Amino acid sequence: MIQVKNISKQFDRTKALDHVSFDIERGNIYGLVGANGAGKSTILRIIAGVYRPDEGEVEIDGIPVYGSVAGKEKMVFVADELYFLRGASLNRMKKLYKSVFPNFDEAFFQSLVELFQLDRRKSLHSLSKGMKRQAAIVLALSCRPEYLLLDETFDGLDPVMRNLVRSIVYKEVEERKMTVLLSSHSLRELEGLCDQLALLYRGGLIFERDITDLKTSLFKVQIAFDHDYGKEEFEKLQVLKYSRQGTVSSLVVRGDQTETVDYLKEKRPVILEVVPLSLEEVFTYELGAMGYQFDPQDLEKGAAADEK
Amino acid sequence: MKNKGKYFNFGLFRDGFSQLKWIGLVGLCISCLLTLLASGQVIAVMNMGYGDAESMIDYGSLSTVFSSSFRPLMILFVPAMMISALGFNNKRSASDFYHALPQKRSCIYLSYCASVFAWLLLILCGVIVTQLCGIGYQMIGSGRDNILLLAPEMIKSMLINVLYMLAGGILAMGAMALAMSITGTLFTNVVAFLIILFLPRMLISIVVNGFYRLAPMIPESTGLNVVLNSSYQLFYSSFASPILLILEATGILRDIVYQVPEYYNSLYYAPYAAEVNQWIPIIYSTVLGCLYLILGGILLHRRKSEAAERSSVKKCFQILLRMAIPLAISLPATLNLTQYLLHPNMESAPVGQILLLYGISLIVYFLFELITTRKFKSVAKSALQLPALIIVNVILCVVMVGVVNHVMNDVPKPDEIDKIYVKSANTGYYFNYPEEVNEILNEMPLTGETVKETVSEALRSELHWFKDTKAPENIISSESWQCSWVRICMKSGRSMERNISFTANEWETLDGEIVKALADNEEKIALPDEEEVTGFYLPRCAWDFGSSRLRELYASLREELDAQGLSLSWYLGKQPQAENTFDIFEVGSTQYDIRLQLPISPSTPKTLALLANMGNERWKNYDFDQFAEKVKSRDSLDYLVISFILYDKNSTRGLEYDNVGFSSKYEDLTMEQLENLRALLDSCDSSQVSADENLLFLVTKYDIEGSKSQGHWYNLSDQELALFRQYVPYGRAYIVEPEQIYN
Repeated sequence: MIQVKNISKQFDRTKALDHVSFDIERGNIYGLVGANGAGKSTILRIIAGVYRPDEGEVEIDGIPVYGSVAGKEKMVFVADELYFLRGASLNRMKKLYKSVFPNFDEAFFQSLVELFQLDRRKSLHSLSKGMKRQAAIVLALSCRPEYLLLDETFDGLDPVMRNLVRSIVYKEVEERKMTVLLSSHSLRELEGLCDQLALLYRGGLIFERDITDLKTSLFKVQIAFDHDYGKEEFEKLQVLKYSRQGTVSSLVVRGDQTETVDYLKEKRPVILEVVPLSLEEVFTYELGAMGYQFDPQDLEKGAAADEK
Repeated sequence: MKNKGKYFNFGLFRDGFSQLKWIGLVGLCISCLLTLLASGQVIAVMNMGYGDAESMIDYGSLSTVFSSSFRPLMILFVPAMMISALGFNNKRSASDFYHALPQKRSCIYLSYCASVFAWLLLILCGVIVTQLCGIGYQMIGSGRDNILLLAPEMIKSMLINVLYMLAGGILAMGAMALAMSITGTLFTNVVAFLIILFLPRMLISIVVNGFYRLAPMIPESTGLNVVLNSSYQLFYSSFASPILLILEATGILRDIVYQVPEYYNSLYYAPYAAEVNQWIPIIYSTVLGCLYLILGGILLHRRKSEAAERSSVKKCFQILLRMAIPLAISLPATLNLTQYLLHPNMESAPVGQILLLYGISLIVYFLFELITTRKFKSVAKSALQLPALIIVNVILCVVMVGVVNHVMNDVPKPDEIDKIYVKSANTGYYFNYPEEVNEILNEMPLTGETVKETVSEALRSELHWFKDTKAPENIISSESWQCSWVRICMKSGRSMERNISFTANEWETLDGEIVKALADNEEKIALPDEEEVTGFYLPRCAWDFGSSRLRELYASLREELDAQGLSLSWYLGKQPQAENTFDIFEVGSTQYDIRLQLPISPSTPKTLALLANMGNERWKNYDFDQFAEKVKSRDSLDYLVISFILYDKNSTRGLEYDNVGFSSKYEDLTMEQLENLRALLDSCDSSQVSADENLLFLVTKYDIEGSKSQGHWYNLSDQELALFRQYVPYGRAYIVEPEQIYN
């Protein structure tokens, strides 16, 4: 279990993290979302034991991470900016990893290399961005870590490779109860992968939720009646957004989906359809409800959310 | 938790070793190549005449030859290897990567440092093998006697050089590790590396030089020798001369260096600072390097990963680095200003230089900030810390003035003095004691009231002279003064050391007291027993007779000198006189730190005869005819010379020396005289030479380089001596210092 306890970190005059706390249970896939500069990489580096927090503490299975070899042995960190030894091939990097990570699995490494069709003798610096990312992920997974930290996980990977990485990660989580912490500035990348999601904004954790809860508790309903009606018809529901085009109204509702549908059916609508929300939409409405203006496009551009 | 508690990881070591292969291989090749070239020079030395070769070795010329591969290794390859091995600290992504590894930081540091050290050892092995191959090949091919005789010294020089390289390498490793632990870019790594290696020594040297200029009455080596002696730190002593050469090649810098004594002395005298035991720089530099490595390791362990790509890891280091070079530039200016304030009547204050140095100091201060931070805003902010630089200058000068003033007013009264030691009396212009006597004086307390009064009065007069606004150096250079290094022990238990300038009268008084005191300590100068002797040397008579023959010679000399009742007063009153001495036999012993210099002269006839016969045995194939033939057939470039020492047992004039030369421009002897001399020498007896007869020692030199010489001893009858004088006209011969005869 990873426990992030009230950590803060400042670089010169910039507050990168401001009293952030969260826990990640064993076997979970935890996604961190935020715009550039939100503090995702900083938090990952603190969890990886690279940075020492100014305040607070990070523990892995009860072991403080910073300066602890025992804590670091349990995890592998793949940074957003990859580092390979000068002129190194995958083979040379393997030797380095093998000498420092006690659980490095050479057979697994061979199988992954074959799976990703990587050239083990070629200089990694001559590879494309995506290939470098694949190599880093192969090396990291070969260490058979209990905790895998991936910063900007899918940066540079094509859709085929993304799916391949996802499937391997799933397998590892399922078989070995590996815990994964992913960060991305794109919600789409994390959709369908994470068990939990958190949104970082200007160094603070403003939102953390279980994906299943998120998706089942927030949904869109399209409804129409054969008589004239208004928004007041849905007063008993927790409607986050209401819009109407002609006789058809669209509602974004928070609550139990079955109970809501049963309630609406009692009003005898001529049209009643429940449409699942995308993760981006869920975030937009949830954050909107919390008082933030959130546009998923802005995440990719760099601005996460603006307070109203 | 397999990595917990590990301080060395072979995988990381292997990785580091692999990373360094290109730099290491280039370093190995260049070091071996330079060693090979040096080996050629060594062969040239070996091929010289024995005497010239031996003196080259004696004066450390071989070390200079060997050290050619030493400098690039220290200044280029070892630092480059360290930068390559620990370079991850200069890049954010690399730093993060290494900091995330499940290894102790000390383990990463030690493993990579070990890989650099392994390459250093590999390079040194290459150098040793190259040296042995290069010289061994020549030795086998040459077959000269010199080579066998010189081989032990050669091998010793080579080994010492390798140890110098190792110590220098460790020092360079440590300095670079420390530099990289406090800086985060390649530029600041290199600047900090140079600052760590050069600046402390330079600042010490500048302060010490400045201090001795302000207070020349303080002897230059009173304790703290390891700290003050620049030749102990291999890097500084190896590069001070090249730096001076580079500065000499540049216009304005040359002027500054030459006109500011603090700079000139610190650079020029560094490699030549007081002769030191060659082991001391090796041990000192190794220990210093190890300390730097440990400190670097501690700082790297505490360093934050995010410090990568920053000029310095902490603000305080940035301030220190920014101030370091300007301090070294501005300090001599402040010292000059202080000297002017203390001695306003001296010639004139070098106002131009002072302003120029302050100006350069300021430019360097701001330029460093601009280059390292690339922000004008930081440059402006750095101006806020400029007063710190001024304060350090002022503090150093205030402290110095305070110490100088204290020294100026510190004159013990005679009744406060318990005893006085004369540490050295060799700084005068008209009187020098032999080294042996100085050595004894070091340990011999002078307690007479006259001595106390003389010393107290001389010190009071000297300080009065300084206070009387005279330039400090004038008194020392005045020929009418005798300057001596004196230790004054007070009854209170305090002691002080001073260079005291005595007037001729004062010195006469003191000298009389010293002679009296020495006479009471005669037993101290008994010659060491053979088992106490650690080495024999015949520096003037440049032949190696081998240890057992020299021991035989020493036994004979000791017997003769002891029979004469050797005493300290003998050393003072009857010390070896040049005109009576064939050679000086130097003896190293456990009893004295220095070599005793014992004269071989007609006063020690047995030993003189033994030396003569040993010489004839050594050069049994001596052939004057060959020399005469060379004179006849010489070309215009030949340098042919006969040197001789003549002992006329009936004369009271002592030994006669002469050099008789032949060249294209002049002839001291006519060909007829030379032929007559040849005939005379052929008839002379030299089978068993005796010192009871007239004695001639003849050395002939015939070589285009003028370095090949042979010698022979002859007994001459009175009749033969008269003939010799006829062939070498009387009056030409003159008395010279013995060593001239061999040059």
